[in-house]
Amino acid sequence: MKTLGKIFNALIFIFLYAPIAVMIVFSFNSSRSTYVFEHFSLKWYGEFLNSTITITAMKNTLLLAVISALIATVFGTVASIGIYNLKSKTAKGAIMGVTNIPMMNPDVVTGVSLMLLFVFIGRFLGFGSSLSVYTILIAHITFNLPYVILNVLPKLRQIGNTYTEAARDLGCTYTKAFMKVILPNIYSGILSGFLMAFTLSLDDFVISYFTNGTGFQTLPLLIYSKTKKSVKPDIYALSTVIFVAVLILLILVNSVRAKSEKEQKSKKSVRARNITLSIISATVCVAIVVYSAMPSGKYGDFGKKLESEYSTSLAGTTLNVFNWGEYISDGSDDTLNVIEAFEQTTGIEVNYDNYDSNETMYSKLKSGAVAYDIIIPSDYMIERLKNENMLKKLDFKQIPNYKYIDEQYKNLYFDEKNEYSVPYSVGKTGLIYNSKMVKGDVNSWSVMWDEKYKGQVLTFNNSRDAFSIAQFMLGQDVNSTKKSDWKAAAELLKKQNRVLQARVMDEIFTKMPGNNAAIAPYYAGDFLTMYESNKDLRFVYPKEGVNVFVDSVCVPSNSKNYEAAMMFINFLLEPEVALANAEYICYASPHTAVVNNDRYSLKDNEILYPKKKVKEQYYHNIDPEIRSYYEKLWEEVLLS
Amino acid sequence: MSNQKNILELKNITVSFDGEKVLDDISLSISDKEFVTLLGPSGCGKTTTLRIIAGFLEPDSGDVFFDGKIINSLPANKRNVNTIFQRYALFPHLNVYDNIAFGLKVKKVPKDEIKQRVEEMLKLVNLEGFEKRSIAKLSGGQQQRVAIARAVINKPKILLLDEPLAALDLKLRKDMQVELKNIQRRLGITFIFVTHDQEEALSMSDKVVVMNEGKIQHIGTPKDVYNEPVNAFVADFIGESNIIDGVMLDDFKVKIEGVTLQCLDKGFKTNEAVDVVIRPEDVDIVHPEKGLITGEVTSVTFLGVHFEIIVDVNGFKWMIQTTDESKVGDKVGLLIEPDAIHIMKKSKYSGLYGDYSSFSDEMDEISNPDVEIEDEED
Repeated sequence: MKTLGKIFNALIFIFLYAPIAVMIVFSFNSSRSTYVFEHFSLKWYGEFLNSTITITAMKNTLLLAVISALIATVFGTVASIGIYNLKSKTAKGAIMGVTNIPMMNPDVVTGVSLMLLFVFIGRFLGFGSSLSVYTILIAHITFNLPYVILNVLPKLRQIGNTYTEAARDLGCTYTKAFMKVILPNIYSGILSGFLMAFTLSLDDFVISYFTNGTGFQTLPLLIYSKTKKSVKPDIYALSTVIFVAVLILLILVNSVRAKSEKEQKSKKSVRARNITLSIISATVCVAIVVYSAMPSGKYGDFGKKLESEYSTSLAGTTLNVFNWGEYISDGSDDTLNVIEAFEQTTGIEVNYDNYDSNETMYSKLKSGAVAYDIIIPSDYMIERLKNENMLKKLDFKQIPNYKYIDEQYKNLYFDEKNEYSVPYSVGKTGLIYNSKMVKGDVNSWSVMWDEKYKGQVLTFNNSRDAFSIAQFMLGQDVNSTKKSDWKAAAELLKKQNRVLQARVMDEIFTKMPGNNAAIAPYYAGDFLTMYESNKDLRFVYPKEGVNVFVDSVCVPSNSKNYEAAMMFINFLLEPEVALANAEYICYASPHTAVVNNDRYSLKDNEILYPKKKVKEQYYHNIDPEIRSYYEKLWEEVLLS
Repeated sequence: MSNQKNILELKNITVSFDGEKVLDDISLSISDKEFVTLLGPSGCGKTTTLRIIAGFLEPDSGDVFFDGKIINSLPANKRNVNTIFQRYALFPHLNVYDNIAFGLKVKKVPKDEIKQRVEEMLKLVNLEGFEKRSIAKLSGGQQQRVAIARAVINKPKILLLDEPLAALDLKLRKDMQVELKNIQRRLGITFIFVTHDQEEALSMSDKVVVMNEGKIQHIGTPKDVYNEPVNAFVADFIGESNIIDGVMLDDFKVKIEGVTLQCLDKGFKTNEAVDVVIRPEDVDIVHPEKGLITGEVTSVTFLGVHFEIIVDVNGFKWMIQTTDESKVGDKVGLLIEPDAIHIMKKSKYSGLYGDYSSFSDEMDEISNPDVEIEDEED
């Protein structure tokens, strides 16, 4: 039995820590691969340290954690004393119950309800955008409070009332009794409450997601927004750093607890330990605050060249930018840091936030709780936003660089008169296959139904993209308004089920390079990333047609700094900036000065810029009735 | 009652918790340098009385006088009174020296003076050399001494002691009783001592205050309360007693168990029903023919100094302590001298105590599911 128990324990540890161990190992990998360890390298650590966005997010996270934990600790301690001294047992029970609810509640409930409250109060008080750095701070304090109380209250119970009475008997006022006798004895509880609150705040995603305003992105939010592109190993490096930091904190918390439980041990050493611990915590906190308050030092010299062309009349104002994750050149690998260059050139301060899908961005915007000056939605979403009057017309007189935009990306269906949007990047879907596993030339989507590759085929795990493939096969319009078309496409998709291995999104970045699957549809730009780690992969634009999408820069109707937004859009179109972004994003660029630039490494890339004409269709905004109809069909497909 | 020497006076104090009267019209005077014991079973209100004197509790009605001045709402930290708590309440984050010096530091006494006075105190309680010791490393007896030193160093007019010996084992308790008494004499401080141990109360006090159900039952010297208890409760609570229903036939004549006995009490109405207290050690066991009352031995317990013998007299069980051995089943006679008889007026406690046919009241209480045993601290 004993050995069995040991094996069991060992297994538990392996299951718990193997994923973290793997992540730590791969954070030191020199390549992007998630399955081959090439050789040891600190490259990814360097990369995330050089990325201003990541570093800013880290500073934000730490600052938020320290401040919210500090405030929660003060409030929580005071609340514990109040609860402890309540005379009525029913009131005590009720308050403890209420206090515990936020802990039991799923984060989603806490997050959504807090957001609703903030928006409601914000509207009530007449603020345009009610969510801000203060709302996320309040939210963090709120969910941290019960944990502080949970740590302090038992300590108070343990020491009881007699110490207070004894101190009062010896001449202390209530306040003095608390300071001289109670505080030193509940100190370890307060400290562990603080550390716990700090840790929880550090890695909170869900509540932050709902209550965050513009320009204050935390690390968990940033990481999540990066799912548009594959997760890069710099995130492993970052996660490793966080893991180690949290681990150290937890060890500290536990050692405080263990100490205070061993009461028979010398009080003096506990006291010494407590003092040391608090000195450490205080030092760390001060360091974090000082560090976070410091401006990040690295400035690109690129900005200097443009200084004469951009006025600094808006210096000191703030521009709120809402973009996809990893969708702007951020200074990693000695690239241009676009945001910083813009800030330096114009003196405008940029608040930069990320989203992971058009729909996320839409709902944040629609809630009215945030006000952005710049967004970069995709075509169909622009159509929708335009129809709902959520976009402002652009003043093209202030965007002279618009001249660089390729004619083929002007007058597109979602902005026929070129009033609302400036194309930012262009992507297409296509078919990826492994030339070692698939024989012969592939030029049709039909290979995804081929029985030969049973169990080797991947497809999109989102309805619109998955349907489009069947629609291309059937020669339909991907924006068909006929239910019968969608029905036919669904039937075709059902037939595909037997050859499918899985429906995936991000997982494709490990499955295809790892030879775990032979065929998969995906976005052209992302193929280039996969090709880097597996040269056997091939990409085609199937003859039946593919989806093309254009992500364009727009200004929401509730923008507060329109002039700065115009300046920013023009800046994005500066040939050097556009080049840096095109290199970083790896999608096709609609910018003529980039496409024709000899320094552009992807200039002659056949995949991004195919010589032959590719048959392609745009997604349009689909009316709600058809959308819910095909979503229902999609569920049938998933279940059949 | 209220002469100049009364350092503390409680007048008609009433306190209720959640509508339940914990103290019911308590009045008590305590003179300077007196050793007063509040004695009673748990929940009798003795600790509550102490807390009112200490200033942790304000009475609902009634007044507390200290040196002739009303101090009802004077906070604890402003009273010239110190307390030794039941479990000492020594501060675990401070060492022996800092614990003892605590009160003086709060009062901002100069450091040199603190040092000198702490040393004196350590000498007084025999703990020289323990200054740096942490509280957790002290034995119960040592903690007790530190608690005394911590309180006494403030030179209080009154020292309150809340069952200070309850946590010590029997032998140490006896030693500490003597030591406390010595300290009290040497320092000349008024001690108000709370206990439920009647032996402790009798051996240490100048004055014993017997309490029950929030009321004072009897105030008197230890001898008074033992020899002349006012009612069945006091008689039973202080030592062992046989309490028998009797009828006062005339002055100095009482009738129990159908037998008329001579006694020393008078002043009752003719044929008044009374409680008759006879202490177990005051009864002689004799040959049935020589005894006034006869009964049968039902139990014999050897206790070292004497035997404890239970004798059944017409269904009422007497306890008798004697050095003469009897056997279970023996028919015996009981002989009682007139000065062994104490007559009490009937009270609400009549008939509740003084019969040894069952276990002690405490035993009855813990075996009874309807009775909630209260915490020592009220």
